[in-house]
Amino acid sequence: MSQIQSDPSTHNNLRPAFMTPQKLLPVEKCSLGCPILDCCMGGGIPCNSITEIVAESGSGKTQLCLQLSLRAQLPPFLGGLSASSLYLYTEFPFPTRRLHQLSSALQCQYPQIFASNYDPCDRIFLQSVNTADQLLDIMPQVESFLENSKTRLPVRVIVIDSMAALFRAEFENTASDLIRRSSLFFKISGKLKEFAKRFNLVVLVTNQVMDVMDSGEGVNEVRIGNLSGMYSSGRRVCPALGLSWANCVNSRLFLSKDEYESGLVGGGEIGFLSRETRRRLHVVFAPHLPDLSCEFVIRREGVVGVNR
Amino acid sequence: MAIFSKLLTKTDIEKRLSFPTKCLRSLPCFGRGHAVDFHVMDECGQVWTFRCTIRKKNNPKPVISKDWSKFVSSKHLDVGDKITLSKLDNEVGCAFYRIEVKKPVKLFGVNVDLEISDGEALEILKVASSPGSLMDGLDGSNAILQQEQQQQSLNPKDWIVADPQNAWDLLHEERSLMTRLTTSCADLDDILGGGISCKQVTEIGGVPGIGKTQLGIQLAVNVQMPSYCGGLGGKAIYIDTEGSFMGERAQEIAEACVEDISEYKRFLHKDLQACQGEIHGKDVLQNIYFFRICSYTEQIALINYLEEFISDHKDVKIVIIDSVAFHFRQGFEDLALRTRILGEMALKLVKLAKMCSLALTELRKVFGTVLISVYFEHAYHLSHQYDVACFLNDAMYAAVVLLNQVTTRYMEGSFQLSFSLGDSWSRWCTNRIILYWNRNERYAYIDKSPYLRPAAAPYSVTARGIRNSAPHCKRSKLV
Repeated sequence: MSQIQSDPSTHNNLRPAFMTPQKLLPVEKCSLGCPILDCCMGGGIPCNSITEIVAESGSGKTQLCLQLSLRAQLPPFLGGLSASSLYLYTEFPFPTRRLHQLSSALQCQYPQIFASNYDPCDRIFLQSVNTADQLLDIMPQVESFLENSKTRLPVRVIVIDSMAALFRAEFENTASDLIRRSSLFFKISGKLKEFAKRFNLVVLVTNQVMDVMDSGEGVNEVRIGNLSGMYSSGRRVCPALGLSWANCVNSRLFLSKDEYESGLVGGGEIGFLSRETRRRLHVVFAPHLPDLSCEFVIRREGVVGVNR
Repeated sequence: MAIFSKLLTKTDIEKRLSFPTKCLRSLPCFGRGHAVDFHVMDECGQVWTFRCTIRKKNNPKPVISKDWSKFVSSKHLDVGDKITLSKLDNEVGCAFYRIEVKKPVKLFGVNVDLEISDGEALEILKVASSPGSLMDGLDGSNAILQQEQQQQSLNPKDWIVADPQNAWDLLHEERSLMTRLTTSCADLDDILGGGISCKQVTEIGGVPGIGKTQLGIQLAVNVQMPSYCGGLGGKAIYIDTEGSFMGERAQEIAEACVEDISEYKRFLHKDLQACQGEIHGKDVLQNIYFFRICSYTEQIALINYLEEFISDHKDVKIVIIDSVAFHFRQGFEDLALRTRILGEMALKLVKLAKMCSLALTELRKVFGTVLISVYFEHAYHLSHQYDVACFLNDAMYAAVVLLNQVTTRYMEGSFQLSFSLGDSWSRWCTNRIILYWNRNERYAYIDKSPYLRPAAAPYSVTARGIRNSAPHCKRSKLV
């Protein structure tokens, strides 16, 4: 808990203090509760860093976010941070039912941690955000909320689900709007990184994908990260918000899904062609991770990696 | 403060120098007359009396005459040469004027538009070909050569080619002096002439995930290695503005590096093994001074403080800023403020560089100086699509186009940040390396360097750090 205290020297003192990277070790991480997924991400989602999940809708972005906010409440020996989380959601409605489902599954898994009178959902603070400007406007409130945490557990996780929705409506494809947009990106990410450092936070943001239409020149054709092309549901996609936003995050993960015909089920003459969705998590770029990927499934109790 | 810069035209050379009317206010007061004389000092310290004449009515159309034609013939000025007139205020409050001449510099037959004066260009050439003699660079022969150069504007190309053997010897000597820092990727070291040059500012740019931070960490580790392993035996300053520096990754790279060295040492002299103390991965991390910066004010403050810090920690041999642009891209509404801040920052780095070169002279051949490796993410934007595509298609030449187009096409827009950053940094970033993807391989391309040929080399980011690209990839490239 001592690391959570804000360091006044970081923003008041104009003489920055140096440290050695030794002090950055070990990097605290928040486990997702699945050894396969954690292994793919080097032990979990790292603190003091912005991690982005890019995927088309229905790939499991929100599932991962919910799972992380719940898992963060576990004590460190179970891979958590003993912390509550702040969940900023931009897409309506907020999946309350799913959260309760995941929460009760977690309670069943660790009955000794969660006393009967304590609901893990109470440790997730929700706030809806509609526009990018609103997100910047509430930053001071977020800061004071992080500073004076009256809750039993300090907030160590900020989830923004999703970033792309904030920028969807009010920006046109004109030069001045694009400039305003990218300057907002850097402002938001600068603030988030500052919080992440001061409070040693896990910051998880989600982002949507766009279909890549033209195969000619275009900024979407610029390869970013390990994957030479991102494919999901058989279509070529690229992360929304473009290259300038890619400069704002520290790590990027990509969730892909593809449907396969897994064969006939039912037997006899009238078989049904069963279709199976295969989901994969790819590390697009991360300062601490190699080019890894793993397959996962979404179950009732959460997102789980599978070895195949 | 520069009043104006101009590429000279035929009329300027043959008759008189015309210049923009708006620059008049920086010149002495005309009073009621239509002409005024003022003194201008050139790079050699010679003073010329220039007369500025204006028309009384309508458009003033100012021109400079009197000593101008003498100046032109004395300096052998030609069409296309660039002059810069600047005004300097001294302590007493009276201004004096300075004129600088920049001739286009040709290196290896390529016209390099360097933002430097003749004197500086010569200095760079000296560093390039004879780093060992930098300290005694002001002995008789060189001083004469320098004078000759200024008088006759000797073509630097001829100067290099005239004595290739000597240059090779000096290059060899340079290598033995270890003024270059290995990147741990042999191919990359090859095109860089042995590694990242320590006497210059190197700018490394590329898309997210290409390996900028990895290269930065690798350099911060390598600088601590003994000189026989391509290091400098010094310490590193790592300024992280983005939060991408991961302790565990640094540890991984450091341990791999230490392992490689002990492996290497077994093949090397047995006696060396005994006298050299063991390096541990732990110590390597201890020798990186790490700063995490959260705002541009902190960044400025740190750069101000760096001077003091380096004079206290003389063993610092590398400063890495990852990345310099991040906090300057957060929407400065006030463009003038941003320009001023960047100017100040550049100024501080000038001071820093000067201080370090001073340290170099004092320490004689102790090879300490500072490399400022500036990660500058190019302000790519949606509208840069075409440039980026061009650049990716034809990395050899289009890279230059990319940068040029950014500076010209978006001058009025808010791309001025990248423009101003690029402009004020281009003086300091002697080398610019661009990292990019070529199919499934990472490539580094020398985009700008005063003496290296433009070249690209593949590299890869492995668990152990930056290394040569996998051999099968290279084979396929040869085929």
